[in-house]
Amino acid sequence: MICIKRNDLSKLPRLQTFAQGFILVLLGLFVMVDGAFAQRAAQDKDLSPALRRQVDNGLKTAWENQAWGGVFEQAAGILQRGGPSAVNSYLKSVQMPAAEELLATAWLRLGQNDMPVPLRLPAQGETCVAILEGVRKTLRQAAEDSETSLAGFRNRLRETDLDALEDVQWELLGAVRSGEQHAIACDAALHLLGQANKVNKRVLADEQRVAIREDLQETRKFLEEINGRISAIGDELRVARLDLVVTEMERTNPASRDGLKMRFRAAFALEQDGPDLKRISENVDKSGQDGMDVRGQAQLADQVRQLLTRAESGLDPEFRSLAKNAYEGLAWWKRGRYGEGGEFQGLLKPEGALGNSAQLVMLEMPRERIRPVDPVASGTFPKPSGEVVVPRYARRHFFLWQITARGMVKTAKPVFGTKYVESTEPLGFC
Amino acid sequence: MGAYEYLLALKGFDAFLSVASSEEFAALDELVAERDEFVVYRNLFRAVAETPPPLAARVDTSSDLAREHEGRGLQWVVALARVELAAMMALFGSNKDPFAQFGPGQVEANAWFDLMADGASVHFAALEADPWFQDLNRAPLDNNFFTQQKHLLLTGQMLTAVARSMPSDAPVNTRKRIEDALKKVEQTAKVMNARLGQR
Repeated sequence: MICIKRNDLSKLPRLQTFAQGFILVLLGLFVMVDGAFAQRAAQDKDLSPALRRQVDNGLKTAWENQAWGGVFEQAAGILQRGGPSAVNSYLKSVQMPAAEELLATAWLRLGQNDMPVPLRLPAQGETCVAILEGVRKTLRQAAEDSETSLAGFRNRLRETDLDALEDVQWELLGAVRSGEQHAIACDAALHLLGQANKVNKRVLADEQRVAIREDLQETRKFLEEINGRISAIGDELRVARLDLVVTEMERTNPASRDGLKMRFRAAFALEQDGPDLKRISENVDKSGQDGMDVRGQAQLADQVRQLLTRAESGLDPEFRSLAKNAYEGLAWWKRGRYGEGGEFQGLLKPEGALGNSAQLVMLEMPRERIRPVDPVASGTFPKPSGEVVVPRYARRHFFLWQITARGMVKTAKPVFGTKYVESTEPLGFC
Repeated sequence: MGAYEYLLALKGFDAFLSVASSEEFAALDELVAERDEFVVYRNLFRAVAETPPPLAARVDTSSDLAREHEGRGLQWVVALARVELAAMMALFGSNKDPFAQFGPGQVEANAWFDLMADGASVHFAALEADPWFQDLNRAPLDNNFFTQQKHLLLTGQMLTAVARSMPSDAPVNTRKRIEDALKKVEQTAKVMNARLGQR
């Protein structure tokens, strides 16, 4: 019997409290930092033609291409010269996110890609504040989303269809990954805040600074707590999946087609979840079992040990080895097909990926269950549209030839979409 | 993005295919065919031509679980990995014939030919439609020139690989269309090379 304490959620800080906190902090920050925002907002209702051109020709292109260094530098520069009100008004008119969201996204992505820009923290206090504002918006949304996800995953634990259970597991892994990224965003924002405080010492009161720090740390704690609970559901899902697949495997004739398919699926479950199942069976690491009492953990460990014994008796080592190759082929294929490299609309990985194994394997996968669409019928090929379709590229080779280097220039007459031309920088493709 | 992933995918597939029995292959093939995430949409020429160009291949899909324009099963998955990886190598690698280096095995040969012929058709149609190629003698020798050259190179390599793998019973007309397309690509490449020689 698996026990989840009913009152767990009630112990979490209320979102409302956070929202109030965010608003207070935002108000505080606007008052505190230089006063430049407020002054410029009042002065500049329209963006100058020169800055409009910079948005159209520079910032927008960089944003569309996910050239994060360019987004960061351009957004910071335009914001500095144009003022937030005029800049955001124009960005909205050209259907782009607000400057603070652009800055925050670029800053965080650059941090993920281990680029030097975040370490060169902006000298301008207002840029720091804008980034913080964007990060806070993201985190606030994340807090709301993760609470909803938690409830959703709990409800779907009872799935009795193996396909459905595997889909839930895919989505849950995506949610856990999001949670980890938000924790990183919290840490990054804390770091930024420290730097911002140095720049604006004379306008920031001690207690205000402390309040801002405490708020971010609290947010991180809250997100971590929810993520821990989602991870714990992940363990229950793994066990439920193994239970279902082993039972099905035992029920079918191993020599039949269905029996063989079920053996593959059992072997795949062991390949994917092996280390986690071992951890659960050994009942060693209790950190991921938040929300489950000690008795529940012991019962789960017992259940996994029995399931592993049953699974292994139905899968000889030779078949396990064969299935391992098939599993790896399919898993890497999915990454090649649906993965996005983080730069240039997902077509490229960060520049340092060739020399850095962590960056080489780091890519974004769809968080939802993958349901590919016919690119021609959906009208997303040959020209990729702004809407999110899966996979984003019907074939990568239809688009990759357009990219010959980083630091690209947009040309006028695309055939398949935006066309890019060569710079002197090496591409470093992988 | 994609080269590293497809390379590792093919490593797994090749290891599996080298030892799997026909029953094991059939079981995995069916598993893959049943899962939507492994669908490979095909006949992309639909986006650039109303009727199938003679370059487009015909594969027997009568026993396929797939609906129209869907490739389902292990052969499509493996074939797509080979085509994508070889194309990336053609663009960014140093091998002169990556489509031979990452050519198909027996299992996925039909699907590979289908994806290659379809891909080559789309690339060729795009080249023909691109106004940039209409007056090559006046095209500025800028960075865009080199990008276009890359497109031409990839199209030429794909067409060559398709011509080489053409089924022996392919209609004469189809064979001629491929030869004509290749000739056109080669002539264009010559003009571009001559322009570069003038620099």
